[in-house]
Amino acid sequence: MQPTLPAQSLKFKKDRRSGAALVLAALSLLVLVPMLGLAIDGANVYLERNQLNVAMSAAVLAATRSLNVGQTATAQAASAQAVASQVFKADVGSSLSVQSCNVAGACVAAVPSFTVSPDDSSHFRTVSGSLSVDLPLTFMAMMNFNASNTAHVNINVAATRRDVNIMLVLDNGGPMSGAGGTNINPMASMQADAIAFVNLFANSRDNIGLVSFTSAPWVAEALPNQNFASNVPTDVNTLQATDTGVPNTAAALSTAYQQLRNLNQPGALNVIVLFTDGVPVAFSGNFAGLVKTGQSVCSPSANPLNGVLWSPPDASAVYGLTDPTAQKINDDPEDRTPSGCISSNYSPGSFLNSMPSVDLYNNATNGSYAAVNLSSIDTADVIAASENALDSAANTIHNDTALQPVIFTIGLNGNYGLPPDPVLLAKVANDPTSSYYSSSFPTGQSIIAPSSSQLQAAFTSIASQVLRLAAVH
Amino acid sequence: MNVVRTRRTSNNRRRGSSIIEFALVGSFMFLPILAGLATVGLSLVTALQVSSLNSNAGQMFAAGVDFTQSSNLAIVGKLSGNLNITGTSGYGLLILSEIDGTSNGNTCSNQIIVGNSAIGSSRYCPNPPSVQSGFTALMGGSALAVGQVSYVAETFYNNPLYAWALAPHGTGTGIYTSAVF
Repeated sequence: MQPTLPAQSLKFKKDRRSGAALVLAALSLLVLVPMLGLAIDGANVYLERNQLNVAMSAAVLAATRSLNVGQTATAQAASAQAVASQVFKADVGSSLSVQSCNVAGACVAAVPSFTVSPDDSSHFRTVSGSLSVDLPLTFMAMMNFNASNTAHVNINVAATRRDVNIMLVLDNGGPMSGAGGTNINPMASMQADAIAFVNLFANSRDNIGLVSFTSAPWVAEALPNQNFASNVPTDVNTLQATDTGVPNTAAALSTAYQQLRNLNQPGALNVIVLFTDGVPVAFSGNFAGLVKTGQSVCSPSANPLNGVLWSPPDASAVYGLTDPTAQKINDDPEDRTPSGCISSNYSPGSFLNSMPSVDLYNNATNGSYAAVNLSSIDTADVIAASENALDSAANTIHNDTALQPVIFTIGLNGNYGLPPDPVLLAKVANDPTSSYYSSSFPTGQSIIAPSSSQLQAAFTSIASQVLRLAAVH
Repeated sequence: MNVVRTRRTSNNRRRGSSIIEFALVGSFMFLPILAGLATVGLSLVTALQVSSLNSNAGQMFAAGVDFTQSSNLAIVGKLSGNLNITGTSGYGLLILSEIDGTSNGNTCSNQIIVGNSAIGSSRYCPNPPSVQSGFTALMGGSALAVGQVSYVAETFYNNPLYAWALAPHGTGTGIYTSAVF
């Protein structure tokens, strides 16, 4: 027999059940609302922590680029710390509460700390930043989360700046006097801009050497040279446009590269900055075995018979052989006869059978950049051989996987003679805009300055590019 | 027997009314909460995406990555994910500016624009190449030393779901973030 219930009891039960969902829902809000608050506060903290992390990362990255300001390591570290603080403030702005609280809930403004630590063996400096901050909570504060109602966040970041080794390679050939061209005193412009460039690097930490060149290179400042702030500007100011002065650019580039090899710092950023105002028109080689018999200019039996074959900037003739070695800054080696010859004949075709296939720096003169007939000693072939030698020198440097030197080139238009070859200079630099660009090699930059007044922008642009490459996050 | 049948019918009715009550309560209480939570979550994800893109692209730009190269530009497209900041269209805009310290002051010399340029313009480098007072103000009023360089990344993400107005430098509503490197 089934039990029976009075009708009134049934109605009472029904009334109680009819409000159960509402009551349960109201009770569940006691759990859901705090969970919602936790989610919103958590999301806010996560977002603000991310913003602070971005600001701290940006600050140390900017600081590494400022490690060049100042004459001493201490001054450079102070400069980096100041810039880091400035960038952090700019990035955080006033939208974030950057404060630090104690257990009692008392809060003060949090200040990030930045330190600079050098690593002399690996040739880099590290800028480290740390920030300890208490981010305010909104919903959790209503539940008295802790004394200060904040969430504690620690942020630690670091960025390194590689030391920079730069070989500055400056053309001081005859056309740099400005005579016969449209530039007014291009040498003075180049000197001022090159010195400004040098001053953008970290004295006592970076290395800057100097090679000046005409038909032969001269190492004005060899590496290592960490106190470059005084001697390199002095040397640059000493430069004069030489009397003849034709650019043997391949020899200059190879000489600069040799300086980087002698220094041998794979951990540093190795850079060559090449400035020239004309197309390469000279190369140096060993002409032993290439001299015709029965002539009286150079001895057919001399070995080695090192000399330079060159054309003047206007490519009007071919001259040689002349001395392949400079003896001082602003030298005129085109006026000297090399060992093994009794005169510098101005018709080398009369006593030479052909040109050597490599120059004195083992750069190929019969490369693929310019078509050349080594047996034909005329202006076009001498210039082609000189261009090939420069191309070959750059290839050798690009293939150095240990030092990974980066080449930057600046060509100046407007001087007397054949202007710089922009395609060749872009190839030498491995500029991304070049049709010869290879992503397998370090990427450089080539800039053609239309006139000497635009040299400053070219040097500054390259300096900022070098400083960017030196900074590693 | 009649009483038992009546109770079963009554139970069924009550079960039905509980579901209705729950549905009504749920509609007015839980669904708004869930919808709000989802909106907060999605906003957080989008804000993080915008911030992350701005930070990564800015760091790459500051490190010398050449964004005029299509291969490097493609990296920005990948970094932006579903923000769809690529080419010259879409809902987003990324502006990378180089500011040089010169004898004339902070000068904007180089700018890369990726995405839909109709969305906004740079706050700190609006008309390169020129001296930038906005950037100087951002840096606490001080000019960079001559020869020093700073990099600024700015990202706009246009979305009508966000209440934040992008004006005065952008149009519509959405997210704007910037960082100096």
